[in-house]
Amino acid sequence: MAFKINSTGNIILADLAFVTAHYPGDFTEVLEPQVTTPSSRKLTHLGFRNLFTQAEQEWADELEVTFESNPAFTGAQKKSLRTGYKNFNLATEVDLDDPRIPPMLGLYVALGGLATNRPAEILA
Amino acid sequence: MNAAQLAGVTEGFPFSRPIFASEVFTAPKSGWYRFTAVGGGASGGAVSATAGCATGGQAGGLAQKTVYMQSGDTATITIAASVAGVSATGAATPGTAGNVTTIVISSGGGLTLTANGGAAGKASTTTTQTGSSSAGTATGGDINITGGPSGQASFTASFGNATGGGAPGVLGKSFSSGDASGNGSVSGGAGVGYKSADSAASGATAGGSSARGSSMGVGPGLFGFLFGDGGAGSGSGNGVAGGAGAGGGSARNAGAGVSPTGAVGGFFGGGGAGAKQSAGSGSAGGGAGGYGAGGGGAFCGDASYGATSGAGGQGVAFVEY
Repeated sequence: MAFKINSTGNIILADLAFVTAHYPGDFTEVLEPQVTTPSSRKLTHLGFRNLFTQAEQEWADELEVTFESNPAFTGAQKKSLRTGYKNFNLATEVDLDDPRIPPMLGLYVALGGLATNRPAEILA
Repeated sequence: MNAAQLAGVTEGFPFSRPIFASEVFTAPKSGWYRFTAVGGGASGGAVSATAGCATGGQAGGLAQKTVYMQSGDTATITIAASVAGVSATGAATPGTAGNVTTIVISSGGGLTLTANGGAAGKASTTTTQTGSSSAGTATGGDINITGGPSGQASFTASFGNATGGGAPGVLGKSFSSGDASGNGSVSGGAGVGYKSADSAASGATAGGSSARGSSMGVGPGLFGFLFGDGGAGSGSGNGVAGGAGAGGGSARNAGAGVSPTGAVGGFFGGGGAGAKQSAGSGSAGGGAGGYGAGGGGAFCGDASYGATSGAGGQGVAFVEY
């Protein structure tokens, strides 16, 4: 167990009996610090798809095969979708912290395929 | 390494015991006793930006005292807890200073050994950072040795440099990790016998240093198990862990989608630095320090992703009689 000695700020490894005897009323138990390692939130393609509802998946799949010929999309939107789908299909996994994902989800919202609150839920 | 392996015969002291958690030691007989306190190592700094530098943590101090105790005399031994590594995303975060190990001996009118914790690793996105030796001191012993600092991490525009953690002076002299001055270079952790190599070339990835080679001023019998080799550095994956008393290897990678991590130091060895040089997904991590040793610094070259430094090692004490 680890305890912070309040009067000094020092954190020591000890059992409760030790700190009670030697630092009466002057200690606070703390969680022992863990060795932290960087973590990434990588998912398989299927794992990433499962973050979407069935209706959202069907909408996105339909969009992938129709957007090129849809006159309602601007050239910039088509460019973003084309690159986004290509990157997704070539990747071996999907990192939720990849900065390219939020813009793509934002585009889905703009196109009406996702509710405004869904990107935050998906990336949570 | 376990307690049984540590408990070797020492010069003039047939019995030795490592102490990893606070306790009150009671002398079982009248005679001479030798106490050694090692303070906690500090964690390294962490930087997540397009350029910057992070140093490893300083090792804790070491105090050693030989005293005559009557049977039943006591020594209250307080062991420093480890400190966690720090994380940074789009920022520069300094490490956390190490904690203090003390031994208060009732004999001789009262004696106190204090082995202070190491100074925190530094982090910056603009200027060179020098490894600090301002803390990690020791007092009250016949021998007092300040913990080894980290090497200097030079600022180089458009790159990130990081250094490993320092090692405590368990063999009579403490050692620092190497400097990282080349563009986008990293250094390994210090060993108890050598300073780890400098990384002066662009993209250099130095390994940790080994355990043997210094003067043997402090209890060679007690620390006779420290024969480990330093862990190798890596330019494409993770560093290799150090052997007993040796530093961990550094790690560097320039591609997206990778997360290089410096390796942990072996018993008393400093942790290696880790750095990801390019933009794109992936994080970077420093290796944790061994007992009393500093953790490695970390740099991530994309401010959208995280860098997490290596933890500082906990303190430890030894009693020989």
